Amino acid sequence: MTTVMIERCMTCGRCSAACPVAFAMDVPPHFWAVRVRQGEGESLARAEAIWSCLACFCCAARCPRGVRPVELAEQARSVTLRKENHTATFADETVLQIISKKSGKAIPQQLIVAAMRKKRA
Amino acid sequence: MTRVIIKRIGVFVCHCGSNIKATVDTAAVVDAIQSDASVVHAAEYPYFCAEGGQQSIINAVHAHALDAVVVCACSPRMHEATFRKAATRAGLNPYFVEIANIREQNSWVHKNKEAATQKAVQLARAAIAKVKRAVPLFPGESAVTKRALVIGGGIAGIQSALDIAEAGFEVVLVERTPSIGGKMAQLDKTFPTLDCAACILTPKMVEAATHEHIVLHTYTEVEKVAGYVGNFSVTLRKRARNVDMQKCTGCGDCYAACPVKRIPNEFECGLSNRAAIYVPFAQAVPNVPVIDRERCAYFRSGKCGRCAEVCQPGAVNFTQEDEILTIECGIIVVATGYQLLSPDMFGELSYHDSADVITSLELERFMNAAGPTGGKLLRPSDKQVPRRVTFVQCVGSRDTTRGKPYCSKICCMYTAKHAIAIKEKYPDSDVEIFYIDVRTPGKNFDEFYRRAVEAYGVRYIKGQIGKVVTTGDKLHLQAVDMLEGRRYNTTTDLLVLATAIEPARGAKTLAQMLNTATDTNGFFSEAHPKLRPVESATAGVFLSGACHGPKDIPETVAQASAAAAKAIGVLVKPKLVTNPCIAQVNETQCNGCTICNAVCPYLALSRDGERGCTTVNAALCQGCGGCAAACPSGAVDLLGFSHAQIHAEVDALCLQPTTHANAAPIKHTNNAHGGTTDD
Ligand SMILES: Cc1cc2nc3c(=O)[nH]c(=O)nc-3n(C[C@H](O)[C@H](O)[C@H](O)COP(=O)(O)OP(=O)(O)OC[C@H]3O[C@@H](n4cnc5c(N)ncnc54)[C@H](O)[C@@H]3O)c2cc1C
Ligand code: SF4
Ligand code: SF4
Ligand code: SF4
Ligand code: SF4
Repeated sequence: MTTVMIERCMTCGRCSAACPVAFAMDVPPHFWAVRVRQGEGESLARAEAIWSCLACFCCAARCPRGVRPVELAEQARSVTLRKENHTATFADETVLQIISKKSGKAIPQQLIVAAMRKKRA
Repeated sequence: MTRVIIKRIGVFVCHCGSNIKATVDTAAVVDAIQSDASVVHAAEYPYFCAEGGQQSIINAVHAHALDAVVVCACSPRMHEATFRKAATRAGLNPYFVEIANIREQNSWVHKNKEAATQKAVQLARAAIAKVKRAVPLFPGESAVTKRALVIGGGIAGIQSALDIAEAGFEVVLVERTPSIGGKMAQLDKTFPTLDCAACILTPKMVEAATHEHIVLHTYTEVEKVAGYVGNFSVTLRKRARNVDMQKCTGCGDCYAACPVKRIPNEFECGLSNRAAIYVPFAQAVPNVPVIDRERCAYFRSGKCGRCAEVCQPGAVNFTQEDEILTIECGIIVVATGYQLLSPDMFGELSYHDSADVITSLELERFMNAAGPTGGKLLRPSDKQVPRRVTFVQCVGSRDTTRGKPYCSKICCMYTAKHAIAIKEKYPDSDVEIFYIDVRTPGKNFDEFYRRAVEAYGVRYIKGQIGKVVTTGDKLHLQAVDMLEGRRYNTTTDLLVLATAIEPARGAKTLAQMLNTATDTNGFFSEAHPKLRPVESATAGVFLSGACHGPKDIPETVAQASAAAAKAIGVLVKPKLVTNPCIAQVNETQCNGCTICNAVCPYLALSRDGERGCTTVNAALCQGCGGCAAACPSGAVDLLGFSHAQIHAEVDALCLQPTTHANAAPIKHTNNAHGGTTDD
């Protein structure tokens, strides 16, 4: 399940054109909404691309239809982490989130994602 | 008012094929409504609107001596006129017909057959209750001013004006810029035949300007619109040109002499400059300059007057002022066209950062022999012929976040045209087009696009550009090739943006003046998307060209001629039949408070000082009913929708139906006509 408006994607490619790391992705962002729409979210979760995503939100900013591919990557990462029995998941309280609560400052998305990637490695 | 006793009503329940019958038990409706004593005949039929159906109604009127008819069928917008005509043929007053809408308001929106059947019975009862209180109404007549006003002098306005003028009617053609011609005058060649735009447009411009029935007002805008179909009165502001149209010979000495020269020329999309006194382009019609007062040194500082000094016939006139004109006309054609969406919102495409990123319209000027480079395609930055030209389609179109949600319709075709034109002129150049979809429906259109690919070797890449960076004399493009499913980084010399089309500036204000609607995107709305595509919802206002939505020239011209044909259809009428369903003031009840006067959007109401009450100008009233709702003493009634009728309908719908559901409704005091029968 996803809150991303995947049905709005018209496969224009602007997200992949904007994405700073799409060149290194096995599955660039313009495929993401389509994959999930076709019931192949699993294959997206297995793609290396979701771990290369910087969570920079370029794709979301440029998409002419208001799709937010970045959030599909986030969700796929969090599902994968949970499956791999990591106790702290993206949705749960991570160490960073605890820090954030204590310091009263929001954590930049990129930092959270970087932490996720470290955790997985 | 004649007092009519309606005692014998016929009810006709239509199946509309399966449209109604599939959801409504029509036989049960026929049964149920016969409990009303006034219903002396009820019948069902597959299509009452068909010839046979109408005839069966006429026969029933005769056979059962009916004095009113209720048709339970589709929306009155669809067939009210049909059934009123049938009633007239049967010898009834056409306003003794009521429609119960059991299709749009019932069968099409419900699934439960039992409930829908019950609702159909209720709606039928309401219509029966209403028709019982009907009074005969007789349409009036109004004169038609045999003159047309066309607003906008692009190809659409020119074509409509010529067609109406050719039919023998006077036309006033209003254009707000100094010359007619519109966007087409800016184009180089036109798809799909690649004929030169000026060659086919200029003769039409001249014909419009010299036609004996056409009066041209350029540099003129509409300020106010009053009146109604057949009798509009429009106020125009003809801006001061500061050049006498009669004396000017069009020699051009003035703009050569003008010392203020560095003003971006709007017609050339700012790619070249003009003087403060100027004609927008060489073939301008009329070929009479205007002074741009904001830039003119004389108007700014009182010093200069060079143009006046060199003008041999003494045409320059610094004291000229705006003129206000009033035009009486029978119809109005709107032909205000479009403009291009500014690429401002798309910073990643570097339109403002790089001179070598241009719009498609700017490219038209570069390719045009009369343009700033004499028809040579030279990069703005270094005036070299680009070796590679890249296009990106759908900039701001089909974009619900930063642009317009619709497809601009013409850009796929003109981009293919641009690619072919560049390949024709510079066969060694490399042309690449980024697209989302290529949309080329239209006669010979797809063939044209395929020719670009197959005969000219234009490379179409399914994908978009995410970022443009300039280094040295190259534009670096970060893009994607979606069919390959990979990033495609490349360089180019010139990048052309096919930007979206939007309504012309001021379209909304004009629509408000005309009392007509625009759609969510600001384009003028047609009265019916299929059956009345060139009429606006306001009687006597017609739509021509791209003011109604993105259109190419063939479609624009077709619509322009269609609008003209519709307009002529009004202008030829000796008299117009007026709608009798207008407001009526019960003078004994009206206390002259004038609350209704303020409500009326058509200015049809005024207070008669002597009698101390409001009176209705029957010619102006459009029967909107605002006054009837506003009047605190219930003194205003809308004929055909009287308070008595509407209350009876509401009672029929809301009070528990009994055997004689509508026999004893609540008494209402404000029954203006005394036309009721059974209460
Ligand atoms: C880059 C480009 C290339 C194109 N190439 C082609 C092609 O090859 N073939 C083709 O078929 N089509 C082409 N088109 C489309 C073509 O330009 C339009 O179909 C055509 O111009 C529409 O004509 P119009 O008269 O409706 O609108 P316009 O040309 O926009 O004319 C409207 C006129 O009304 C005036 N106006 C606006 N508001 C007011 C007002 N309130 N009061 C008075 N006057 C007003 C304007 O000043 C203007 O003169 C192209 C378009 C673009 C952008
Ligand atoms: S958020 Fe991820 S997918 Fe989107 S542009 Fe940034 S790196 Fe690419
Ligand atoms: S930019 Fe948006 S619409 Fe275009 S492919 Fe990416 S997600 Fe789909
Ligand atoms: S205003 Fe005078 S100088 Fe200018 S074009 Fe007309 S006649 Fe010539
Ligand atoms: S006509 Fe083609 S380029 Fe223009 S908006 Fe539609 S799809 Fe895009």
